[in-house]
Amino acid sequence: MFDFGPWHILFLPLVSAALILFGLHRSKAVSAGLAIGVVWVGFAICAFKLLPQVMENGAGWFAHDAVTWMRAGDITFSYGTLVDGLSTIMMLVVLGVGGLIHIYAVGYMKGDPGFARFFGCLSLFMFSMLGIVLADNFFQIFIHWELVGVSSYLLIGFYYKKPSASAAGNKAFLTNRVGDFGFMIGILMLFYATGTANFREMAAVVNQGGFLDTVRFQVGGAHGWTMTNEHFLWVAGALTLMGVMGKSAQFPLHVWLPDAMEGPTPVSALIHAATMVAAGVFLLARIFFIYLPSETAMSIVAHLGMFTAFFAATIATTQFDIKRILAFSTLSQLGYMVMAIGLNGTDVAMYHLTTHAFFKALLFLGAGSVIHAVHTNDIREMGALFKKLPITSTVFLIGTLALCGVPPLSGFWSKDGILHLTQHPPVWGDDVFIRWLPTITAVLTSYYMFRLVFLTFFGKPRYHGHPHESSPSMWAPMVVLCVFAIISGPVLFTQEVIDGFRSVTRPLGAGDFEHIHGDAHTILHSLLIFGVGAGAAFAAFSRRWVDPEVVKRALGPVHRLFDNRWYIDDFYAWIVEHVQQNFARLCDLFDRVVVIGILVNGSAWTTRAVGALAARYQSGQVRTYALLFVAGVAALLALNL
Amino acid sequence: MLETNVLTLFLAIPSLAALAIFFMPAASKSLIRTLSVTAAAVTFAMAIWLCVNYDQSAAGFQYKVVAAWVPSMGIQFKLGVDGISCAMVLLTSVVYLAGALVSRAVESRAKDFYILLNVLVAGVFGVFVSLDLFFFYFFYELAVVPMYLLIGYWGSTNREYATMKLTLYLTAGAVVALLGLLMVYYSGLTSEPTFDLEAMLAAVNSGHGLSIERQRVIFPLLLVGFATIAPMWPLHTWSPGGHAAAPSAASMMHAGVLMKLGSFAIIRVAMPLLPEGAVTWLPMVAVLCCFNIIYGGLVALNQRDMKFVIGYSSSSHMGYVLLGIAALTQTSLNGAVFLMFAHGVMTALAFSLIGFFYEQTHTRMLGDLGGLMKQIPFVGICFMMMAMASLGLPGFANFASELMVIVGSWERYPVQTILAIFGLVIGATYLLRTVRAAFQGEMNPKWEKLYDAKGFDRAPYLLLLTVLIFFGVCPWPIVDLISTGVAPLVQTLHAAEAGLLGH
Repeated sequence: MFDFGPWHILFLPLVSAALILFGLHRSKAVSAGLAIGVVWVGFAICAFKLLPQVMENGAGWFAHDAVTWMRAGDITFSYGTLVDGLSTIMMLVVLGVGGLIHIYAVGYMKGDPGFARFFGCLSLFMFSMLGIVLADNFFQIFIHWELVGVSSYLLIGFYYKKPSASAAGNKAFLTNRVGDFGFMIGILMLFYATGTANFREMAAVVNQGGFLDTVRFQVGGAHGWTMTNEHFLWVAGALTLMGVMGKSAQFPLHVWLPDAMEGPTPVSALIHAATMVAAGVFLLARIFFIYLPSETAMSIVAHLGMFTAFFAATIATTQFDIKRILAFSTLSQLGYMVMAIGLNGTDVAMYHLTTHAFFKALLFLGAGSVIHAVHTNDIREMGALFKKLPITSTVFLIGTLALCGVPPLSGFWSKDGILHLTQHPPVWGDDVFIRWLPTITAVLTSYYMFRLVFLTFFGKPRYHGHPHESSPSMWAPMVVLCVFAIISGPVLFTQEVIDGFRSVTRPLGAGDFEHIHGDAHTILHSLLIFGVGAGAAFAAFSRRWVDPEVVKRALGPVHRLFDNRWYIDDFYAWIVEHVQQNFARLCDLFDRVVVIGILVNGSAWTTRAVGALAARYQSGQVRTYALLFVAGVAALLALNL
Repeated sequence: MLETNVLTLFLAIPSLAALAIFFMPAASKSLIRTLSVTAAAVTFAMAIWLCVNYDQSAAGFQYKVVAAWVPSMGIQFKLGVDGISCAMVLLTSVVYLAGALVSRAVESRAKDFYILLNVLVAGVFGVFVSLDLFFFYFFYELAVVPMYLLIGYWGSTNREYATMKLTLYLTAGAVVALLGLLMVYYSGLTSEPTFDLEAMLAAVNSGHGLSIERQRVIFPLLLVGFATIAPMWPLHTWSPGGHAAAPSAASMMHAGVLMKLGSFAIIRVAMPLLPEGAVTWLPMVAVLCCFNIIYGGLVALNQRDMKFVIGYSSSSHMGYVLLGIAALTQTSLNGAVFLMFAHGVMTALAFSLIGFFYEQTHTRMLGDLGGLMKQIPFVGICFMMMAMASLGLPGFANFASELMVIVGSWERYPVQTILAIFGLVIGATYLLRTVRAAFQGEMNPKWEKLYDAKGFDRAPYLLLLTVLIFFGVCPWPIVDLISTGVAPLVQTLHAAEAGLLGH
């Protein structure tokens, strides 16, 4: 057998993307087959080769390989693969969930003129994403960070003739660029402070006792600023966190993700729910060692995630576009993961990332199936679809229950692990917000998800046409995901498995997770949260005991705030329109009036008199010029001699 | 055979092509084009040969050609290349070939057009390979003059004003630089006044350089003179208008290669000859280059003419080159030279693509275009890739080089580096806006007759893209090559900083 390894997992999708985009796109079947094939080959390598090694050798195991990409002076940029527990679980999620979504896309994209281009871009995305997962150093992760951004841009703007789609693509790209601005500065600070960009070497420098006590940082060399050690770590950490905010759509850089739903639904499921947006959480788990020594940094991460989780959930309660509700729900769940990392819970964050990938991908694919059937995204124009789409509805309902954390589904174990953390927070997170907002958010989650379920699948039919169940290539992946959404509790992810999926760069003894053993107290707690939220939705949207309109009016400005997404998008639009564009106009005006108008033309007028004289000798012929030029130089020399 | 004459051939081939075209009947356009393309292809092959065969372990100036010219004045015909000039020669030949290929569309007075193009290229090659400052300057001027005529006759938008401004600026810059060069010549750097760059460098490095006071006076002359063509803010205003007015091939040569002469001359002549002067004045450049980056980017954001967008973006990108030069680290300077190469190829691609549809639409205004992707997908995809390269997407040479500049400059100029990183946000903004306005959305039915590049017409675009992607994915060959040229310069300048150069 060939000796397959991480390099194959990484580069096969790139080969596939290149082949499809530059040649094979004429044949739809070959394109789709190739794209799907390389993902499953990668999955097989990962599951049958890398996974056994991780399971056998436990948490400290890793395999590392690197080549020099370019070297100038004493700075080397390298490119490598780092396989450890963390990258293995992430690869399994990306390839497994990704592979199922690829299959689903065959049915969903059938008949689209851009079918092959779609699969080419998906392959490009897989390459970019796997590069993040396997990266062994900061510069490499930055490279793939950007590549993931462009794949996402291409796929969001897939229907490029639609103005809203290309606008959403640009918004995603630019918002991420703003995040990467901070990310790059953070990387530079860390790189120069530790003398390496390699994660393991950097972790060794930071983790070795006394890093904080011994080094006073000269940021930007001798010409920069001196920072105290604690100060340095939280500033560098916060700047790096900007990259996470962009990719994982954390407040205030979250604005692109809801708009990204302009892309085809498989893209929303794969990129904007299950994998790419989780890259930020993955990065935090990878470089946890930077945050852990500084309580300020940890506190920033925890509160950022907490606020994003709550904030997005409030918006989700007011939306009517099925994909947007799910998008805000994704934001909210990503907030939970980021918060968990800030509360010293990397294991539980990664666990929630995994279960979330299963049930959120499932929900998106279900939404896609619904949209496919009724040709609208608006849940007000659906209703009573349960009978028409029995398979979709069943799996969607199970996915919803998993998301709401109903025992014994997967979401219960991971989400209640996080809620458990908030009830027993470390000192930097011990405040009333961390203790209560995540629980309130969980109530809101059950509320908006069941609002969606009641309006879409139950009640009176408000749809047009004759919806029917989607093809097996679409529902089969949903069923598989549904099975994983059910069994991803302690059955599949035993304590031993979770302990195995750790980053080699993690400081010892930090971020451990122990399964909460489904005792009566936790189950009751979880069911109570679910009951309040779902019950409210039941009262308002199923039985109509309470008229939602009345509630809306009663809430007044609060409802308007949520409905307008807290006016963040409007604020940014205002900044772009009034600050950025005016500034650009000002510079342009300055260029025209001052630099060109006065300086240039002014000097031109004074030279015009001289020019008029010289014009006599301007015959417009090269040889005359050359002759004059040589003669001039000779004369000048002669004068000086 | 080739070893001893290769550099002479770089001058001879375009010159002879120009001469041959001069004697050809104006009507035989296809023959003239074929000849130019062939000449370009030969120089391209030679440039690859040169880069591959340059002995990196020996470094220094190689493939030297020396002939006496005016011994009494210390003028000789002396050619030679180091790692930096190898990269620039490769850049020139790539742009030359692509430019000759896209100029197939030139109909009016094609003969004169190709003569000028070839003369221009000969001049540019001359600057990159000259080791004698007299000829260095001669070729520098030789490259500028044809540009004036190319824009003046074949240009578009506001061409009289643009050519006049361009010529005044470049001539003024050249005169200031000449003054500086003559001051160096007469300053007694060597026992006998000489224009021999190598002899001068040897004097500087052996601790017999000019006095610090003198260097501080002369360096700004060379800096301002050369930086005009670079172009450094606020001397940049000739460039966007000049780009916009020039015909495709001229814009390509202009932005792709001509602008690089300025930064090349600073690296080749000003910095090594006047290291103490450089150390004194470069912090000023580090400030001005931020204006290039941020201000240039913001102005680009407000342009409606696509060529002006790219024009201002060029001056923005040149800011990164100047930052890399000013920061004076091995990594940053290496990145600066690499970026000169990458930007040259990228911007040539941009202008050639704009030229392709401008010939059909006769407008470059963003408001008039839109939805072109549907009608001309090949050009649209190439343009999009160009935009991605320009905004610094990994996988293209521009990213690798800008990364080096940024990482290398952080140590010395953290504030400027932060501004430079922010420039990447601005860059993405105006480029994506341009792509969206011109190629996405619904198409104006007016453009239903546009035809896409087919068959052989695609060659220049594919050539430029291939080069960008090749060096973007595998930067190490060119980075190692450039390194050999940058290392001695960095050594000299660091010695100057530490006060180790005598006096």
